[in-house]
Amino acid sequence: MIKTLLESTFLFACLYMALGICALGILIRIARWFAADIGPRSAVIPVWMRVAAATKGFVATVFSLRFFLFFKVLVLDVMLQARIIKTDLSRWIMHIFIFFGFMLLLLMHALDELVTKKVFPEYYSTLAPFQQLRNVFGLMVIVGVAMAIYRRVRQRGPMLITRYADRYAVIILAVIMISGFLVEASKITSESVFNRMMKDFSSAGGPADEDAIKAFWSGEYGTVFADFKTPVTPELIARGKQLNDESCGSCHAPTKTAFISFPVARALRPAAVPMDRIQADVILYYVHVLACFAGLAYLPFSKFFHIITDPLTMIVNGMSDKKKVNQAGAMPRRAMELDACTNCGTCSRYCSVAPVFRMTGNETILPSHKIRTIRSLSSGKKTGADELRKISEGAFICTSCYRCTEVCPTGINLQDQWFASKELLAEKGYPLPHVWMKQFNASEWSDRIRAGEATREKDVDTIKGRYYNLTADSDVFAPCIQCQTCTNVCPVVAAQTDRKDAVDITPQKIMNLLRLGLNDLAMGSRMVWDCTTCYQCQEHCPQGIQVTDIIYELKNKAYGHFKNIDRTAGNDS
Amino acid sequence: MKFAFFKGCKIPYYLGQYETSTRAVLKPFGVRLVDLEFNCCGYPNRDLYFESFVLSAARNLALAEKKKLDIVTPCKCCYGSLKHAVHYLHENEKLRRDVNAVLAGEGLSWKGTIQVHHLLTVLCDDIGLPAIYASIVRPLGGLTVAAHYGCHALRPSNVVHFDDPLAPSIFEDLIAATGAKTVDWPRRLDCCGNPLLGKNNALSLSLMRTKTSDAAESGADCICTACTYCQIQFDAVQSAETPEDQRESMVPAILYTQLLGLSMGLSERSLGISRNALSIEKLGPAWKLLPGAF
Amino acid sequence: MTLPKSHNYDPTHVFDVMVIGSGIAGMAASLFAVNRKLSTVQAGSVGGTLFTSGLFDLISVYPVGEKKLWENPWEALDAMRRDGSRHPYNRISKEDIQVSFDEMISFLGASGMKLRFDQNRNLKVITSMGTIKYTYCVPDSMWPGVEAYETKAPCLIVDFNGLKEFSARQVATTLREEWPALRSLRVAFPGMAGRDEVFAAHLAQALELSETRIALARMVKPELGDARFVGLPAVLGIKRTQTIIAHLGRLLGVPVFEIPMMPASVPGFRLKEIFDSELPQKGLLRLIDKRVMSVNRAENGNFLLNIGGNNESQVIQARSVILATGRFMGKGLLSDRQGIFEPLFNLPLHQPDNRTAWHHERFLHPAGHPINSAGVDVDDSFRPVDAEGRPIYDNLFAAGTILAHQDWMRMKCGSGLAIATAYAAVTAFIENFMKQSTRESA
Repeated sequence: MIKTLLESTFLFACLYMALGICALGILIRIARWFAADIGPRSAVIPVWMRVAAATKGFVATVFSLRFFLFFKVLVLDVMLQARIIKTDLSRWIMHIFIFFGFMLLLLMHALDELVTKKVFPEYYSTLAPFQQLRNVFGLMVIVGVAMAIYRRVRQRGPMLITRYADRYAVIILAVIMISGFLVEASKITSESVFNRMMKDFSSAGGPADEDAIKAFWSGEYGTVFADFKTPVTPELIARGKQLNDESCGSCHAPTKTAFISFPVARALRPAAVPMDRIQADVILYYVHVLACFAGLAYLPFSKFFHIITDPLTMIVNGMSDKKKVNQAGAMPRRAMELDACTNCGTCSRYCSVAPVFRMTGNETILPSHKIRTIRSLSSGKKTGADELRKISEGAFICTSCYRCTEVCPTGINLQDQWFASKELLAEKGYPLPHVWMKQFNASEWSDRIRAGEATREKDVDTIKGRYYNLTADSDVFAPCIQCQTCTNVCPVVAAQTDRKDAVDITPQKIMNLLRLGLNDLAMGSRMVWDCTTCYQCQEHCPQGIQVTDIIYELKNKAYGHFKNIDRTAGNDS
Repeated sequence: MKFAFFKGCKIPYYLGQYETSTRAVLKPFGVRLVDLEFNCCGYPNRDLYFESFVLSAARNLALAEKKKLDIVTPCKCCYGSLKHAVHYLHENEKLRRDVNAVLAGEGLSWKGTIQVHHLLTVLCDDIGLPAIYASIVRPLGGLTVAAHYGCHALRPSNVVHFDDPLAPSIFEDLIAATGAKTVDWPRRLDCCGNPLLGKNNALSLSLMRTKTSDAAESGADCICTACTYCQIQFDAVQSAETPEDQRESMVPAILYTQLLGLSMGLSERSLGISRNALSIEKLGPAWKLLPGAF
Repeated sequence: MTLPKSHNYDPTHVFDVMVIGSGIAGMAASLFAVNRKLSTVQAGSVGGTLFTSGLFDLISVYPVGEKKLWENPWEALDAMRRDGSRHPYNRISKEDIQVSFDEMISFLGASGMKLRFDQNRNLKVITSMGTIKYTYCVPDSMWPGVEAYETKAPCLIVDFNGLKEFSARQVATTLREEWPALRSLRVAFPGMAGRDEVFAAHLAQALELSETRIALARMVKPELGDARFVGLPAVLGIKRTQTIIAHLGRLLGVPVFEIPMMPASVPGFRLKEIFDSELPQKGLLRLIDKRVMSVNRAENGNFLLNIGGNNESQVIQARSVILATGRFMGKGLLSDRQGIFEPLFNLPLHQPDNRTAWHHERFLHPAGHPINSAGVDVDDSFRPVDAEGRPIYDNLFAAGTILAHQDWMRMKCGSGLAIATAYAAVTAFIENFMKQSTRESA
């Protein structure tokens, strides 16, 4: 029965190939962490500085008291995965099942010769409790995978999007597990496996004894014999049991202890004979092992890479101060974090500005999407102006509330990712609207709005207020008597700043513009976009005009226009 | 007394001491603060999307309603934003219907059954000045404080219902309880400049400096705030953005909860005094003398 | 709507007086009421006092048609009395007018705005146009200007780039003949150089900081020459005017004075600050930016006032109302095709018979227009009366420019009218109603 991997040159070669690909892949990906330009000022921070900063940070940490944090992170976050349980118990159970089930299978089953045998000298794969344990671990992984699938189907939506990487990961895991159980089940039923073992281990004498063992194995152990006609009597079985205990018992526990594979074997009974004829156990074994190798080779390029990046991320971020960021050292760390993200969607579920996404539909507001936009921005792929505008909106709607960073099961310093991406977007010419709108003055914006209105189908809903329309209701602003009280109490008009920054159109002039129907001229004014919203004007207006609310509405409407205008076009366009 | 505690977006990362000091000073008065899964108050989004702002605020209100708890927030911008949303939801039926339709997806709805309070009103009205006076063990005599009101709690008064918008007194009354002296300063009701930070930094800092100069000229040792954004502006931003040669003219800021906590004899640690970027030198001996402060 | 508890407001409370209006008359009525320990509530828009120049007129022109100027305002009052004018002043004794002024002046003085007057003489004040205006009482900050004009001493008038509505050169040019020693100077306001337009209140706020004053004095000092006074537009601070004037005077070595500007002016902001901060401390409940939407009367005669902001309302109960809502700008009077009306109580009004009779054919007719004297007719207790002269309600009073038979703009009697009639209304309420009425409060 035992035909170890090492006896098949083909599989042996496959293993080394897989290992090679895996190692190379890991190296490439790690190298990319240092090469990828993530965040602002990437041009001025060359790769060697990033490597140096990372090394320096590593050394400094190792030789400081913070090093003891390493053990805390390792036990709590990496082993016990405490960061997951903080937010989601069922996800923690799922992940613990998959992680521990798979790891224990890897150590105790796949690497049994190297690990298990060293620890338990009496180890034999078909002995109790190893046989049960293998089934227990296998079951854990399968339950975990089932939970993962259920979760992804159930919580499907913008907060948790399932992509190819997630599907492939689940498929590979499922193939390995199912083929594993099938190998075991097919071996249980297999007559040829039985015969081989009889030849190797049985000391039984005549055909009667052979029949007795066969009767016992077929009755109790699930083996299916193609041609076994001897009437089965209790005596025969008793004799078979006795013989089994003598010859097989020392290294073969009852197959029922494989509590998953045994029922599977029972279910396969009708097909057992033809399966045995085509040596299904061997075929399945190849499938099982090759699937494992495929998973191994695919690891650095798949979601499974997080097995490496997540502990690293947790350790790096768990041991450093998330608020003190060194730009050079941060770049490789950010790249590593991008690889560590498993797209689990926890951040988005806790996102403080998620309601804005619900209203606007811009999914780049959500952190789990935002991290993808960062990935795509850093990949050097060309991003269109429209897409950049959308990404910029998503980035700047973030209030830096830190919740995503706190809940991220991987411990990614998302807060820093957002800071960096905001700076990067500003570098690319897509800062906060309050900033970029100042590249034109009020009348230039007004021209652009009018030109845009003329060429574009009017998106009535976004341009007109759906619930209030203060700026189009003359009852609201017509009572203005131009007394300038609003302007006199406005701290922005009063502020002592650069002349080019000075307010051009004061609040009472805005009221005048509204009366003249020149709303588009008011929309691009400094006053509207530099308003501190302190409500002094509104509170002091002797006529009770909602001056600040009007300014808010102008900003809303202006933004509705501005997003649809080509901002990169020059003045003479 | 039990409230849902709305800390807003900025406290956890930028101003943790505001949360710890708020909890520390409210605890002796038997106020329980409950944490709910709140989201952003909506204020930062009001510039761009009115509907998103209302939905954000409404979801918070609905969460608190579900737990039948009034909301208390230490942030004036959050307070103003939530109050504005209440105002709009009361006033505009179509808006209310549409917002509730979105909230229904989460099993929530806004009915308007709970109140929104600012921390200062809870201290002044619900706990009451007599109880506050009774809790003072170490009056901060010798300290002169400029009370910075913060815009969004004060105005527009017909929406926020905080205090007299033209001549408010609640903050001075509360500061007087700590034994500190208050000054009447011309810019006391003006904006701190923080709403423009990141949007127009020169303007934001100019507004801040006008206020700090005014506070200094009015004889204040420090500015006292009761708002997340204002404190960030006067503390962290002032500290980071003041050029080396002008650091002499900086006016430090302290959170009201810290000031009150010190006079109540609470430990410096629980109040997070050392987390302030600027320290108030005059306050040093005052709290070092406190029994059990170190 | 609920008021914040911080106001210590009890919604079941019955106020003695509800003052409606927040101009000078409303503020004066509230002041006189709280000074007499009446429980008082006031509603009105913000900033009613912003539209004052800071000068307190008593009266200087009568009769309007002759544009006759009076050096002594009391003599003008005597003349009005002799002529049997129906001007509201004629329902108040001169002593009471003086007492009401004294009470207001001492309140403002104690609140940081010292006022100066000369008992029996109107003061001559330079205006931003360079004309001379007669007024009864000026803020301390303008007093050296009165002296300078009187003595025609060498004087420098300073103005600022971008400050519209004030031209030092125009002042100097207009007054050149009678005051040759007057010179003008234009400077860029410290920290606001290069601005196309600057605003008075912003300059005032900036001057609250000593560094601004020092920078300003540094620019003006070299240009002083022989000047013994320096005149500036009325922008010398809102809260600390006395300190600022004293400081600038020290820096320049000569007295500094303010020249009043057009409303909404900085002295208006000062008045507003004082009323806003001092009156609530005296016990006034101010309903900021709340309008009285409608009025009902309870069975016991108390007024039930429906106070509204935006879509919110509450009811306030008061034993009496003082109506100080002003004329058209204050929305105390409204007009439609039929004529003018008083929107709250729908009081009968003294007004021209029809719209065509509102104005004279000549817009600049020296006697003003009939519509300028329209308003509420009252009895000697300042209670609005019907056509037969009977009071409409025993607990409704009116004060200020809503009253009929006066043209305060042309007679230059706005502040005096507001203060004196508010005083008369409050005292009449106490004399005729509080003391005699057996009506119980709820």
